[in-house]
Amino acid sequence: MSTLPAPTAAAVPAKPRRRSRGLLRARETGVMVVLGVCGVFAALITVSIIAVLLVETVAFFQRPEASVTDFFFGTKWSPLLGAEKHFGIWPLVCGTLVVTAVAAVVALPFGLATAIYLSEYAPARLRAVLKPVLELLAGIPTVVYGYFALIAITPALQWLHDNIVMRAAPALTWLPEDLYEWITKPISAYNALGAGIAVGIMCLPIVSSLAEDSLRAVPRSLREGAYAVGCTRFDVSTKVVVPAALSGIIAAYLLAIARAVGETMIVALAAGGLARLTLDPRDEVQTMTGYMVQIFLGDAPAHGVEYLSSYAVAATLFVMTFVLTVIGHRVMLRYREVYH
Amino acid sequence: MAGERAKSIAKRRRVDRWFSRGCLLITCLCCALLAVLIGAIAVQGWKYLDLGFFTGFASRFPAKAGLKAALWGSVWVCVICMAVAVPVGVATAILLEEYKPRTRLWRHVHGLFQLNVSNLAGVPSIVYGIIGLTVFARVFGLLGSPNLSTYDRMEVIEAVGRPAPIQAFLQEETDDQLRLRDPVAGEVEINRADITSRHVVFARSFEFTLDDGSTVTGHLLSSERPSIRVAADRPDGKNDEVVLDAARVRSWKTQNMLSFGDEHAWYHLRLPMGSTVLAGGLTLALVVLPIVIIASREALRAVPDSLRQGALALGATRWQTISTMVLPSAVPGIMTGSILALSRAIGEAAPLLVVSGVVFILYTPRNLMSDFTVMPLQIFHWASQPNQEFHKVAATGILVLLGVLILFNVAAMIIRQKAQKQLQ
Amino acid sequence: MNSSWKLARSLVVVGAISAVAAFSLAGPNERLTGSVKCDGSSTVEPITSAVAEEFKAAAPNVNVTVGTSGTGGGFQKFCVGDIDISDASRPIKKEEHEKAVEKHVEYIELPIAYDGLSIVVNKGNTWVDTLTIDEIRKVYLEGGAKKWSEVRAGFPDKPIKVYSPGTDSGTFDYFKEIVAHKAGKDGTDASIRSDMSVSEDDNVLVRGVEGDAGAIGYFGCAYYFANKDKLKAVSVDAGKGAVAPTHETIEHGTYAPFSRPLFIYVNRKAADRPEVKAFVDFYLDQADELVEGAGYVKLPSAMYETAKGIFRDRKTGTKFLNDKGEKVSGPLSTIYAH
Repeated sequence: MSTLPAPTAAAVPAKPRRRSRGLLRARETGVMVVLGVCGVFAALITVSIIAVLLVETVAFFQRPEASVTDFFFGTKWSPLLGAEKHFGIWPLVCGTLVVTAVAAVVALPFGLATAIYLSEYAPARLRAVLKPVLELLAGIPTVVYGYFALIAITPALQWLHDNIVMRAAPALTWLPEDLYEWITKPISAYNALGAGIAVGIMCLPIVSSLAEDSLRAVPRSLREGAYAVGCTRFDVSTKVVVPAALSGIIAAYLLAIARAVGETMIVALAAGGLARLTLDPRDEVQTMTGYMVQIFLGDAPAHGVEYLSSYAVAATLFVMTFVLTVIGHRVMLRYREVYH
Repeated sequence: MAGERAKSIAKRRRVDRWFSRGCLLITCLCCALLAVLIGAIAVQGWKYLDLGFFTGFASRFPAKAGLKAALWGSVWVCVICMAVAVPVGVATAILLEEYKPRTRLWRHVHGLFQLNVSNLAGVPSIVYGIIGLTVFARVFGLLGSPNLSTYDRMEVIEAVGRPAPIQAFLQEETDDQLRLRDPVAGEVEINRADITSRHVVFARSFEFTLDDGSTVTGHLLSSERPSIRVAADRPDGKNDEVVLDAARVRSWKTQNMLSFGDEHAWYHLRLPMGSTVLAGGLTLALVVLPIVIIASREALRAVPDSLRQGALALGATRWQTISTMVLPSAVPGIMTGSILALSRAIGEAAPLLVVSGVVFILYTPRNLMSDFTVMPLQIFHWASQPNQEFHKVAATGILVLLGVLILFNVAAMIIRQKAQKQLQ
Repeated sequence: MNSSWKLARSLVVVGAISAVAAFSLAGPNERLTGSVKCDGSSTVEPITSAVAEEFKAAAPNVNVTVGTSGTGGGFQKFCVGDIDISDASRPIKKEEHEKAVEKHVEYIELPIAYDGLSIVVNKGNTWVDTLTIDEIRKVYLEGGAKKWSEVRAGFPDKPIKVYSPGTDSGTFDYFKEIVAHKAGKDGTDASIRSDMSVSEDDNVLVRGVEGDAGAIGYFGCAYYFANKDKLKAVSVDAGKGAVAPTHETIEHGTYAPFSRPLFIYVNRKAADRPEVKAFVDFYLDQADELVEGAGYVKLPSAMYETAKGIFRDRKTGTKFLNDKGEKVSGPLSTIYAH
């Protein structure tokens, strides 16, 4: 450390002020403390999330109506109806998985294709237009997507069902009855398919922007090498760049899936409220987040077992997204290490 | 042989062309989707988009329904959210980027910290809502009910000619007089002109000292002279109903809800705060904090190291380097990140749905302790109405919300471009 | 035709209200401050919201909030004193009353309107016009019909999709009371099936039934009247022939047993606060106008006078539980006769 009066590097004040070393050091420490407090605050958030969820979940399991085995292995979720309350998480998990799967089918391939186009093919000018549009798509509030699913996607799906599946149906009567019925099954007004597509559209920009980052991080030398031996851009993209950026792409997928699992407003508006064990996306389902909305819209002040159950569901959801994001970030760090 | 090779090359070129077209098609499809989405909503929502929509409150007539309460609710909540999230987020980012650990232990902590921040970004927003409800709105239930209705709202008035302040229930207020009811003494009338100070307290429980020196503590049930009914606290936590004779009460005092500042002041604060603007803003701050931290870190990382080294070489301390060299060059990046965080905050519905519920509100927030609704919640509420016309109103609300968001995005883009020019 | 009728109705209501509002503006309410917290039934919410909206003109500085937690949810908050007014689409239950007594919350019970429960099916449903109570039980009780053919011989072999309001709603409780009470084996109470779509949001039900040819659902008549063009109401045969839900059949009580009164419950202590008192007075004054505007059936004017009397005298407690805590039921006029 210099004993000179510390000059401020850029904006040298008109009148240089003399400051004692002690004062400077005190200020340094003060700043450190303030920054440290802010950092601790950020850390406290995680601690409080875990603490709140843990305490209330334990309180839930202490209720006579709830049991740990039932919760993790039960296949019936009916906290509000029927003679007996059942708290088996699987129907809710199933609902979440169906919606997420549909979303993944939409977001993952389309997101990757968009990323490849932007990174490998798009002329700079086009890219300058497309990027902000995708960013805007990412910034649209989820309640808007939910509304869109309700007024546009589901009616469109029902129209497709009526005009394609049902028109083709007479030609399919030779099929076994079960299969025929399965194919011609109508799409509910609230269904996992419409909600899933909306969630997929929401996740698409996340996939495309993260995947594009990892594609662009692939060193030019790899591409140039491939071109030199006569590869087309298609060959370079699919056989060189994508494999090289695979870990980044997988990380993008995992983070997008984590987002889809935790998505709330879209499923609250468009997926419905029937918790049941089904893997058919045409059915009405209730997701974990959908259940929480139902409870907090209904009777938030009650400290009944249904109310506590929403904490247990939240804890399950937290663990799921936590695992996905941790793996996602680990994978992402790995690809960064490789090319930086 | 040569022909075969040419054929194979032609085939590969064809594949390449088709692949390129396919990717372009998909990319354009994504952009077209945005157009379809906005178009579909615009067609639905165009009808009700007029000035009245911005100045009107929620209404049972679609034509009269407006967004005013939600618009101001969003402004209040977002201002609080940013006022908390930006300083804390930037400070955390500085801590992570500029104070790199030197010892092994600290490096470990640092690593954990980074992991923590990236995990926070992945937590579903509804989980933040639950945390906000439990921690901010209810304070773990430690400080009593957050609902004002469970307390007795009393006026505390100092007036000319009254040696002690009067604490009593307001009965009626006219242009020149206040009529109050003291729980023990009964009716009190005060001229408005005499009042020197006036504020409101929320009484949780009363302590009556009787003429024999004994005390009764508990909830006030009713006080119609000459008897006072109290739900007296018992050691086991339950209550007994006790009837006191008002004439026998020597003195009384109240235990009030924790509060700070006058009821009408913007900084008025109560604990627990309940489903108020402040609780909503703090909850949203949790949601966007990771976004601010990550964006600020990126911005700090982009500042060339030569700047830091130059400053340090001239003898600047670490904080001097940060405050005069690093931060100014990172400001555009931080601002862009903050605007994106703000646009996330303004569109978030799930956490606020948990904190505030969907309610019919006919006023704009007046202070930190006001009930509120925000634009996405109001849209959700309209979209859930049975009357189809309200769905169109919801679409109008969405148009306004999207308008605000596009404005933010454009602002962020302009700042980014300006900053890039500067750096060049 | 429907929309012009709606418009005409709204105009009448607006006119009547602006007249009243102009009158009230001169009143002392303008100086009132404070807040009134209402919560509860989503069925009653449109009426309370309408009153709140009009009250704003009379008392601009009073903050009225109206939530929709369902009747049960509303009472849960009300009985511990969390809210000032509870909107209820059924009378208070014994357990809720006991909770209120335990927490020393006294309340004033005020009837404000009639509502009917309409049972609705998809527009494209050609086979159902009337259902008997027993057939409704076959649809809604545990182990109920999976196909329409199980409801009545002659109905098509189509899957049945069942919708119901949320369990927190008074609508659900009221329906359960009629359908499940003593309907089980040996006269015990049966339970409602758990494999149906449930939502606290009636609009979800409207959409659900609208979009599904084999669907059936039920909710407050107001929602049916507002969505007449999308749904088909089923007449109910309770042994006296089929009766369809209309304003007339509900008001006259012939649409039995699916017509019911709606209430607001006011916290006795809150009623001492000037802003709450003014709000409730305003509510009872305006109810007959606003109730019709919200799609419900108004009470006879004598009933509103009775309610005003109850509130003026601060008569606490419910008329629907007797001294022994047993349930009292019957038409409003006989219950409030003494």
